[in-house]
Amino acid sequence: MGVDVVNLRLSEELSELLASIPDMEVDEFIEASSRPLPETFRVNTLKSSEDRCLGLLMEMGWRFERLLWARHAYRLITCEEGDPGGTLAHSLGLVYLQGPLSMVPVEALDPRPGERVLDLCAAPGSKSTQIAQLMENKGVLVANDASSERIKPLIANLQKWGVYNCVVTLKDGRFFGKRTRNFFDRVLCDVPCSSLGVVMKDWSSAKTYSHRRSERLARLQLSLLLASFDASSPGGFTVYSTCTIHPLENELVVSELLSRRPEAEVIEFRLEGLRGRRPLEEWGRRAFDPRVSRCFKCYPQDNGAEGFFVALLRKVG
Amino acid sequence: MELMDRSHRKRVEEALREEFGVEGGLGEEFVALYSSEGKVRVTTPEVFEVAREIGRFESVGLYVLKTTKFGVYLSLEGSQLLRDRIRRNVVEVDRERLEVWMRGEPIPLEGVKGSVEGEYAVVRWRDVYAGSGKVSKDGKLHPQIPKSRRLLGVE
Ligand SMILES: C[S@@+](CC[C@H](N)C(=O)[O-])C[C@H]1O[C@@H](n2cnc3c(N)ncnc32)[C@H](O)[C@@H]1O
Repeated sequence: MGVDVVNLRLSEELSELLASIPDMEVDEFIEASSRPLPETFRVNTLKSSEDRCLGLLMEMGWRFERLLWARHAYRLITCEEGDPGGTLAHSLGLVYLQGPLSMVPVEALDPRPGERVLDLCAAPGSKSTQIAQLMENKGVLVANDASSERIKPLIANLQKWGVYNCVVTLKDGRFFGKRTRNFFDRVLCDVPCSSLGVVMKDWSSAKTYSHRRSERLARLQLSLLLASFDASSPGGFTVYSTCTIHPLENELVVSELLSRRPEAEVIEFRLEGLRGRRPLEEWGRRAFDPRVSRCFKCYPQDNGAEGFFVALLRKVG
Repeated sequence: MELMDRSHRKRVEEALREEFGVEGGLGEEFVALYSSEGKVRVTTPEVFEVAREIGRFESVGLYVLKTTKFGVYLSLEGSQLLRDRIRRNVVEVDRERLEVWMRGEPIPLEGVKGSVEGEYAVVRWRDVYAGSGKVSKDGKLHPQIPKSRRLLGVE
């Protein structure tokens, strides 16, 4: 269900933020943030073949269409019950319900069978299950989170998805930068953020927005990104992602990483059917590293879905 | 979580053969781990090695079965993983019965396809395997679906 925010007033601080972002169309942002998210899902190719899964779903009364930018992904048109989360297909683990833009970071990461992959902030496991699926259960997936509460749904979701090539750890993500330096072929760093790109899912992120909190988050995000990058092997890849529109948590964090890790390069990627926009070159009297422009950014109004920021980085060597 | 020793693993694999005709045990490609409450998980040697290198971990691999005094229960994912090697005691149910099963309720075996010798059977709908259960005297198969996995019935 979407939240009707059209009639809700934005806080002064949030209004100021939106007005300060040069490419932000404020009315369109509010309008898009007040609409329900399209319902999208992945089918479980670890338990059966994609065709068989789709056949079973059709038999159960599901109707859907392909989502262009992610593998094994579909947009739901109807299903047997109103709520896909309460269906037989869902409890059997044949489908994973995941927002359409939330599938982008793992598509950018593009994990392969046989690799070593780290998901640094993994709970509740949407992206870990997506990674395991693309790895075809081959290689090693380390799924970590720092929250002892959120680790339970992470373990449960990996189980339901049929993942056996995984280790789940409960650690502060910064542990991995030193302890597993240069170890992973690919690292996903899907950090905690102000969530201003997913207000349609949870209006509280708009209500609780504060500039100071974003500043604090940006410091944590940078340290998690540095740890992720350090844990990746020479030639390996790191994806940094947020579901917010805040330049401090997006452009600035990547720009800082680039200034502290000269061996980092940003790789541009494109996904079919997805509208994105160029990241900012500067904001609030801060100029960003020009290479940040190669990152992917979209606002809710661009695809009628979540707002996301995704950077694909490679360690030269 | 401990690595299962050879004799323990052999006993479990023997029970799998007896109950469901599974040849080849849990699979040569897997290491088997013993966790709390008689639960057995499988993963690959490579994954287990990395887990050990990291040190403390919360969980590793996939929960496939539970050993009890009376026999072995396959989890939903365990039965799906071993499906090509399960030869005996598989009952094929229709969707309605699968829904009852996934609500955690016993299903009558009357009228299902497949025969049950002994006390245990695996439930299957199309090529989806949904774990195993125990047959009661009144001819019903009782599931072991964890609460968190259950389909909620319409009130
Ligand atoms: C955006 S959510 C991750 C969503 C997840 N990747 C998914 O797709 O389901 C951010 C996560 O970061 C975790 N987190 C917060 N601080 C952390 C830290 N210092 N180290 C590791 N994880 C942390 C939170 O518990 C939260 O689960």
